[in-house]
This record gives sequence, structure tokens and C-alpha cells, in this order.
Amino acid sequence: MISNILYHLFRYFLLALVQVWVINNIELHGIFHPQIYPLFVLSLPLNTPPLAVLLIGFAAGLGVDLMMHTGALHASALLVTALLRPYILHLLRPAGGYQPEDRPTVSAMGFLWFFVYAAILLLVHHTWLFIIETLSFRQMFFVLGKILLSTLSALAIALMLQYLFFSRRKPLPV
Amino acid sequence: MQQLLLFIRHYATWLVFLLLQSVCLVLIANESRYHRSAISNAAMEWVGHAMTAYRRAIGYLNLRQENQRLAIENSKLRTRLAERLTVADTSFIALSGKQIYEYIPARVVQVTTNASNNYLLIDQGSLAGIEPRMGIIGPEGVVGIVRNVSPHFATAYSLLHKKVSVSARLGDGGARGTVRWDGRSPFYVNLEEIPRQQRVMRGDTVFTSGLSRIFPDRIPIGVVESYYLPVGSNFYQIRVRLTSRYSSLDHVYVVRHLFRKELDSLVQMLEHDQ
Repeated sequence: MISNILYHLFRYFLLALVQVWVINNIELHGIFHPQIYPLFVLSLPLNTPPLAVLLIGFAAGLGVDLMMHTGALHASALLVTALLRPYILHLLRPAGGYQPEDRPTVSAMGFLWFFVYAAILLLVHHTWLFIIETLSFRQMFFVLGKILLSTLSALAIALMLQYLFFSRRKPLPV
Repeated sequence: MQQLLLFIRHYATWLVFLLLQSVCLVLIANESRYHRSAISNAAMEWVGHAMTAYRRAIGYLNLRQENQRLAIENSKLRTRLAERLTVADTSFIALSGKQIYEYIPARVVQVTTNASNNYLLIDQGSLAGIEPRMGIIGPEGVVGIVRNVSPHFATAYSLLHKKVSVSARLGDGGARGTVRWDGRSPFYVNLEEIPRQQRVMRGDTVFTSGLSRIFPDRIPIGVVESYYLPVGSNFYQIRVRLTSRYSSLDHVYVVRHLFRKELDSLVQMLEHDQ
């Protein structure tokens, strides 16, 4: 249990640091701004109670905000993502429901499941984040483009991380 | 009563969500007040130290580039110095009887360019005499304006921030306008309020006007990339390519106006009279 918590904390700090140190320093005409710290909320165990996901998401978002000096912008977006996560998980549940050993990864749930799961939640996250950040309709098409391109690049990074760190195949059931 | 309890239990997640989300939105709406808080200051110190360590670790990567930038800046300054010494510029002597600006060296430890409001974190703070609303310039031109200070660090709005507008001038002795960012590309800003009588050329340099008491006169901001006169308008729409490259900023100077308090109180009196 404790090692599990430490593992998730470690993941969180790793994702947040890569976000702040690496991704935020890439300069690509301002239209690519992928957010990868939501992957932390996405990767929480499947049986985490919705309320716990929400509180963890809030705390994680505030942490990112402190690192980026942005008030509560990222916390606000991560709250929405955390709120919707249980509903998306419910929508995507396999025929027999989730098994106790299932985890929200490509290796456990398959490519398509993870792709749809991450795509929906990342899209929600980026949409909320960039709309709250801009708060004006003058830049509508730019913001729409930014949401789409940033979500796609975040999704690509998510899949890359999956294949880098969770590539071990699930043993075939006997 | 039981109904109510059942309702709360059933919708607990949503209720907590609404509560926390309203906390977030209030914090976002009162951003400036939040930035003056103790939490924000403590975070600045932590993040500052972590970022400084990180920069120290990877700092050698663009050392060559940074050396070159500083050398180019040095040669420009030497050229200007030579001009000052040979040409008997009376206006300069009249002004320079008193030193007006002081420059505090600092290094950038964190910078964003992709958000719709971008900021910098620099490694000098109130202990070095930095205060909010001081200007920051780099080797290639204007960089930003200090937002908030902690003892060892300061956050600053970069020019790429919706709240920042800088009083600017087109070329030497051209018309004055205002530079603002439109929230898109980190390489361009817009120069507004340049009247149609002014002759505009592609490649003209845009300088600070020296009117704002934040930046000294004649610090470069950018170069005119394109311009047009909207139909029926008296003012040009000018797109300016920034000279400062934010993603590779390192050494900067914080500009301290030595008589700002005096000037501010005079301006206040003026406003009070009206």
C-alpha cells in the first residue's frame, strides 16, 4: 500500500517536472502546448473511489499551479478531468467488467481502450484549460486549433510513455 | 432530513467538485491578489531554487550561444559609448548630469512561451532591490515587467502577456504607439496607434519610448515585419518580430528608475488636481 502511494507520488513528480522543465520550454509558435501531468490522474488505479480521484486531482493540479505560478488554472482543469474519469471508465468497461488486476494501461487493456480513454480525457482537459486561460471569443479559431493540436501531441506522448514503460505483455490466461 | 442526507451521499462527488471548482475560479479571478500572498511567495522560493539547480546542471548546453549574445551586446554598447564621447551631444549631457537608471543583473531560471499569459522567473529578488513594476531587459531588447518579488527571486510578466502593454516608438524619432501581444505566436507582437501620417517601412526597428518610467529610452523591442492601413482607419496595424528570443533567455538586467517614487508622486498630484 505504502509502496503503491510512493510509486504514484513519484510518477506525479516525474510528469510535473517533465512538464515544467522540458515541455514548457519547447517553442512552437504558441499553438502546441501539450499537458502531460493529467496522465497522473489517468493512471490512478481503476478502483480508486471517485471522490478520492477528485481530491487527488485537485491537489495535483494545485501542485502544478505552484510550479508554474498560475494561481489555480491547472487545478480547475484537472478537477474536471478527475470528475469525468469514473464516467469514462464506466462507458469503456469491458464485457465482464474490470478485473481486479486490470490497470489503465495499454498492456493491460489494449491499445484501442487506452487510446479512446486517454483521448477523451485529454481533450476535456485541454478544452477546459485553454478556454479558462483565454476567456475570450476573439481568438476562437486559434484556441480551437490549440486545443486540437495540443491534445493530439499530448496523446502521442502518452502512447509513447506507455510503450516505453509498460510494454510488458500481460501473461496469457491459462 | 434523511432525504437530504441521502441526496448528499448520492451526489457527494459532484458537490465536492462544485465546491473545489468555485474555489479555483475565485482564485483565478483574483489572480493579482493571490500573487501577493505568502503561499505564492513560498512557492516562488522553492521553485526558484529547484529551477536554479536544474539550470546549473544543463547550463553549459547553450554557453557558446550565450557568450556570443553578450559579446554582441558589449560591442553595441561600446559603439554607443564611442558616439557619446566624440559627438558633443548637449541633450545627453544635460540629461546625464544625473544618473537616472540603474541596472541589476539577474539570470532567468524559468520561462514559458506557450501559454496565453507568459511569465519569467529570475534569480534576484527583494534582497537585490527589485520591486514590482520594474522593467527587465535582455541583451537583445525588452523582456518583461516584474510582477512579484520574494527575497531571492522575482516573477515577471513577459511581453507575451495580455496585461502588458509597452509604450513604443517607430524608428528614431518616429511616432509613438503601444506594443501589445495578441496571445498567439511567441515571436510576434502588434504595434498599435501609429497614425497614418507616419511613414512605415518593413525592417524599421521599434524602440521603447522612454515615457513609461519602466524602460529607458531606445531599448529595442522588435523589427517591423508587415503592416497595413485598415480601410477607414487612421492608425496602422503593424506586426513586429520580437528581437528577444524568450526560450533561450539567460542573462537579463532589471531596470531601476532612481527617481520613480518622486515622479510617481508628482504624477499623482497632477491626477489629484484634475
